[in-house]
Parts: sequence; C-alpha cells; structure tokens
Amino acid sequence: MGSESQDLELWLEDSMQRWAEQGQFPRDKSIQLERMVARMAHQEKRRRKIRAVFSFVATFIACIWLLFTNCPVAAANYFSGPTPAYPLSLSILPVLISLAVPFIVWEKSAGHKINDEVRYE
Amino acid sequence: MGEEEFIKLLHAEEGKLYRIALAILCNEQDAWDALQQATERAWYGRGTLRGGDKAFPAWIKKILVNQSLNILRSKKRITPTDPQEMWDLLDSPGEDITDMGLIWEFVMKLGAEHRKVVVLRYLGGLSLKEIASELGISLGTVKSRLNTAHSRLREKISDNH
Repeated sequence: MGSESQDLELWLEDSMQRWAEQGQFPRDKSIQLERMVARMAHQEKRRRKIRAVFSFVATFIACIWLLFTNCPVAAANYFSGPTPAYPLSLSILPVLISLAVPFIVWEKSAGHKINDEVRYE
Repeated sequence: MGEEEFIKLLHAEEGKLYRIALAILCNEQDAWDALQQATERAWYGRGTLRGGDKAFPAWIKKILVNQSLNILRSKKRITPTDPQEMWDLLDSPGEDITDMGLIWEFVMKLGAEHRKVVVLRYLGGLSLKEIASELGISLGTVKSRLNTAHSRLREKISDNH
C-alpha cells in the first residue's frame, strides 16, 4: 500500500511537471515580459548613474568641508597660534546633510520594493 | 547576470511558470500578475541567485510560487476563470495526452481545496509543512486532503483504463 502510494506520488509529480513544461505561452505576453525586463534594466542603469553622481558630489563636498575645518586647526596647532574661525565650515555641514538625507530617502523609495515575505532560496 | 541572459533564461521558463501560476490561482489575470511580479522580483534579486544558469529554473519557480501564494492570501475570494476556458488555456494542442493531459483533467475535477494541495505539492514542490503554513491549515488536514485527492485520482485513472 505504501509503495503503491509512493508510485502514485512519483507518477503524479512526474506527469504534472512534464505537463507544466509543455506549457504554451502567448507571444504578446512574452513580448510584454521582455519589454518589462528592458525597462527595469534601463531604470537600473539610470539609478546607477545618478548614484555615482550623488556619491561624487557628496565625497567632493565632504572633502572640501574636511579641508576647511581640519586644515586651519592643524595649521594653528603647528604654529601654536589661535584656531581661526571659518564660518564656511559650519555652513557646509547643513548643505551636506540636506543633500544626503533626500538622497538616502530617494535610494530607499525608488526602484524596486522587494517584499520580505518572498524567499529566494 | 545581464539583461540578454536573463531574458533568454526567462523565455525558456515562461510557459511552465505561467501554467504553474494558472494552476495555483485558477485565474488568468492573477496568473499573469503573479508572473510579472515574479519576473520583477527575480530581476532585482538576481544578485542572490547561487548556482548560475542551472539554478535559475528552480529559483524563479520558487519566487513565482511564493508570489502566487501572496496573491492567493491577499485575495480571499478569487473569482475562478470558467472551467472550460481554463481547460482551453491550459490545454496544449498536439501534446501527448496519455498522461499529461489526462492528469490535468483529473486534477481540475477535484474540489478547490484538494486541487490547491495537489498543485502546491506536485507543481509547486512545497513540503507538506509548507503547504499547511501557506494555506493556514493543520498538517493533518493537508495529509488528509492529499490522501483524498490520491484516492479520487486513483479512481478516475482506473475508470479511464
């Protein structure tokens, strides 16, 4: 009885898998899927470019900010003089933050939203 | 994995995936939605694929089954496509129906609850525990439904011969 049931299970699985493999797929739907993948690939490239530009700008601003804040301190320490005040360094930080925050928000919301419920493995 | 490679692998599997989604959801529009969503998730999640091209069919099938189950859960009541229309959609002209066509005809004649268990087990490749968890029923109920489905299928097969 157990063996018979096992045979039926194997036969069912094999038949149903073969049945699924012979599935016909409408050509128009196939083209739609292809276009969808092409669109996602295009969006991905665009996002990668924007990300690279944002990273470059952020790094550049960070470097400038570090330069303006740290170099005078290092120079003042070296010469044992008073640390000069650089109002520019204070104004760059909010700029950096105001650029970084929208970028992070955009990064999180744009593009795909993968549902955690889906298990890929 | 690049765009062209992904499309090539997807084209090789799309017919099978569509049939599996149709078999689980019994609704043409929902099956198409599930396939589109699975494609999107597979595209963005392709970095997680281990095993290369060979692993792709099983991987995307798993995504599709999960996606179909998400749709099944989100829509408590799915309006099934008319059974005859469903049969026309799933029937492949010219295929050897000795086993494959008949098996689907038999499965379609099972009640919705039994059909779901059979489809998830043999097409979706889910374990009994997974089926129980996905359908929100006990393991005993899954086993019982599967046994009943086996008995009915056995009867139909012997009637047919």
